Amino acid sequence: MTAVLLYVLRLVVGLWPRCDRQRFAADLVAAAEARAAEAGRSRGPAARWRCLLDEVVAASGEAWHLRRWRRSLATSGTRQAALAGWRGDVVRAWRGATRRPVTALGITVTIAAVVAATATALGVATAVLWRPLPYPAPNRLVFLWEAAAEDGGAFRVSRASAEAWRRAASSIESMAFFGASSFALETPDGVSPFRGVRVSPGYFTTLGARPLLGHTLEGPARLDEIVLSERAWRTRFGAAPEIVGRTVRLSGAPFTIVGVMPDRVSPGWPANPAHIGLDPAEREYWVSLPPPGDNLRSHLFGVVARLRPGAEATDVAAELSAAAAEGDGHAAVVTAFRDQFVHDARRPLLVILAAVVALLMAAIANLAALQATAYEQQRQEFSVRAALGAGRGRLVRAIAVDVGLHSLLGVACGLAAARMALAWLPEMLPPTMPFVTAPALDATVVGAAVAIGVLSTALMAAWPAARLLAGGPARNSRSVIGGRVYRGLVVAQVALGVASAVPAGLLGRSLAVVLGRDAGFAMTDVVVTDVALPGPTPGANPPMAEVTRFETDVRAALASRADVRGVALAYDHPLESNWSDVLVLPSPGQASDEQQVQLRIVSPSYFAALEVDVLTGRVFDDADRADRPGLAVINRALAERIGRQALGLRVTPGGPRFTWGAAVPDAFTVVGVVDNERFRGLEADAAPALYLSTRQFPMPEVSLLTRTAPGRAEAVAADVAAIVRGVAPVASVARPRLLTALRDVQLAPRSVTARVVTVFAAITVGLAVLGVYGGLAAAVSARRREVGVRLALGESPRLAAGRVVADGLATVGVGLALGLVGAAASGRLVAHVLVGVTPADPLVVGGVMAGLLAAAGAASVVPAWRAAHVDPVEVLRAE
Amino acid sequence: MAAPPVDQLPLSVAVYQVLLSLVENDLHGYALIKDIDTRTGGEVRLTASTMYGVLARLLEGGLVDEVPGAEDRRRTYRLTRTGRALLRREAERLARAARWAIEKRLVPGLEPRS
Repeated sequence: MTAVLLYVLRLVVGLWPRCDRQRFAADLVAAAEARAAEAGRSRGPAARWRCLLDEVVAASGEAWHLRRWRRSLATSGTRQAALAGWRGDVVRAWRGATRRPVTALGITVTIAAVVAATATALGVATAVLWRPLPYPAPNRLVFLWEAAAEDGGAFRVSRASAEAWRRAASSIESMAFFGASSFALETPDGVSPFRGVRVSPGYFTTLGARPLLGHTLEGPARLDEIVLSERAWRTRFGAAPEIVGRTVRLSGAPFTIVGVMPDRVSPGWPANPAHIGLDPAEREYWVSLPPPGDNLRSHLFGVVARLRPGAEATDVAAELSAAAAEGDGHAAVVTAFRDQFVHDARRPLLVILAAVVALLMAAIANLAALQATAYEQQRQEFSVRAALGAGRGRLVRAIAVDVGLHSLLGVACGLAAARMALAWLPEMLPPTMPFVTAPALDATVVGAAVAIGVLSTALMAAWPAARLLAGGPARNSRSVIGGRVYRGLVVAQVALGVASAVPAGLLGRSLAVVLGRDAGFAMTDVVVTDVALPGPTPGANPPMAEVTRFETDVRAALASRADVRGVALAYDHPLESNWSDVLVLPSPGQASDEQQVQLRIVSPSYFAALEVDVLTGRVFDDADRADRPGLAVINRALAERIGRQALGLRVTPGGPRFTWGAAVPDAFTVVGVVDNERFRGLEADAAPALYLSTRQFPMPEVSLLTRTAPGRAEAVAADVAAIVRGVAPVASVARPRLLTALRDVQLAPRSVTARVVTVFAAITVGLAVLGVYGGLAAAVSARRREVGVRLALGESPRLAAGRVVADGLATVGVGLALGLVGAAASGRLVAHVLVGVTPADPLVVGGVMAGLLAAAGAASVVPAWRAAHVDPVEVLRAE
Repeated sequence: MAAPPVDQLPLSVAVYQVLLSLVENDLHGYALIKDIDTRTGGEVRLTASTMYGVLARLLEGGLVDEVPGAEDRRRTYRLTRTGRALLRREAERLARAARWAIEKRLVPGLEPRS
């Protein structure tokens, strides 16, 4: 029995791991036998057998435990060995970077710049074009406008049309209209302008907007309730937590604050043609629209609607147009909510994204070339490592870790820079930029940045890795510098530089053309100040005589300054036109001719003060009072539209009698024709316009226009508010602005696009020039022996230098030729925004080509000088 | 080399006893079994398989060295400096634990020092 148990014990120990079995088996069996013998001696044979049985059981248990333990050791050992390998590569990569800090910094900074630019551009594009709007089911939100009969454009809506649409449209779930509102906010510090939105019931319900505090204006309209914007709550009321229920005085009347709305894009201040501003300064509050009086047909409103699920915009437009006869007879234009704000921004954003892609590709080409150069410099190190047993896969991994380290640092720095840029951008750019959602670094943008980092790593490592896998780091193998692939990278960078610089030049030149356009009025040194005279009750106009007296006194007060050249008042400043009307023009023997025109209400001094040319007839003067026959002036565009002798024509705009009743004329005779003003902005053509005098159509809310002596606008702007209040202490006076600043805000989308594309193009061109320089410098370094031998054989240094320059220019020449093809495509991308410039403008294209050629030539100078100064003796001695 | 599991405190009873037996002398396998049995009064009895399994782990962890036997073929084992340090830490830990129990007057016959 003992022998059997010992035999079984030996069998079980045979299951132990081999190393333990070989080491311990003999001693183990001997020890077990000795234990069993001792137990047998003291307690009998049964005890011996029991002892041996215990040994068998213990040995089988140990067999299992030891095997598991040995397996875990082997796995962690392999993992540790692998980790040790990766750790070693990271340490080597770090040491390599510290040995070549300029190259390492160049690679990291390039990646960081590209990631920052891409992440920022993508963040802005996402915020403007793609991120869901902060309303439930935003795809069902639309704006409704009335269509202009003659040109199909759109303009503000009348209450009559809005009510007709509400009754007729079965595909609309809810609808509300909104219009501009302005009060004088009375605070302990004085009176300040306060601009907001008047809304009909259902405005907030239609949007699905919830308040931050309190409640909104729902239910029966209460005209003494006001909802603040979050911005107003914070800037004007110090974010007071107990704001709801507080009373404020607006233009002398008390209002109760019932709620605060969070800052987000919302409809407000509709302007013609079919424009809704995004300036938060014009959406500081919401109040209810008063009941309709006689102004049912005044086109003052915008309309926002929520469609029923499944309804299409085209169906809605057809449905509403069928109901046109009940309103003002105009068809409806339906615009998706987002499109209303960003329609004009889509293509510029795509242009910017295209510029970023070009920059990215140029940067990757640049980085691949840099890495190839670095690989050449490390060729000896790789050879030694290969000789010591490192396989190709091992060396490829070392390269991947090296470039991955740069990419990781570059992506991290780039994301940090993009985060800052996206936070600053809404503050730096004009408030009219269409940020319908706030730009932020979200998962999409971060994912894109990381993808760029991975892509750049892969592409940077691809070429050296391919060389290693193909032939290994052989000492005597041919250098990659100057090879076809290397030259191709330089050519690609130059081509991308041309393709991105040409549209930048076109956009810049186009901007210059727009800025250089004749506006038709004086643009520089003009201060614009919006003034509102309060009436006896909120919503009521002040007496006409008071308005006229204010105009006379304020003009006199400002004109008395030595640095003021002219003073005028106008309902709209020269770069704006919010009032359109339909003129009925008599035609002998025919039905009356209706013309849609812009109505411009100006003081008699307007044309002289703003230097608007008078073409024929005369303009207004102070003697043309309200109790005299009505006089009108038209612009050249309207005169051409009329097509016959305009002087003496009688026209009947509806505005004056609506506002002042019989106190003003109802018909006006055209007495003069003035030149066109670009009152739709410098980018748009002039529209037909009818001018009426403020003497015959007084305006309690006006823009005060003060033209100053050259360079005095800022000084006058600082004093205007005090001067106005000196004439009318209760007037609400907005912050004065320069007309040129208003022009810049209008042109902001164009100028911002041009600037951004130019910056990206400059970086791309810079990378291309660096690529040319780097390529030539590396080629000279790699061919130093050859150059030295040539010099030793009698070649002149000048010839050696000339060869380098010719090499560089030849490479650049190929790049320029390819770049022309790219420029043709990129020029077409921006063609739609060009003004006065064609996509193939020879000045721009020629300038870019010449500039790049000159830059490449300059980049060749240092390498050429080095080639000319190679010491042949030193080279030959090294041989 | 991977760290063996036995260098993590607390030590198992078997590991502790094996290391303790090697404090003063180098011993071979069966002598270790006997020493542990005698010293603990039979309270801890290790089978040969268990003991050699422990020795395999102690050798892998560098706590014990193998010394070729001088006269017979049996291998003897010696406590290394690392093993001695680990054993000392475990003994100190056990002493602290015993002291806390004594202070609580948990062990009859053992009174805390005044």
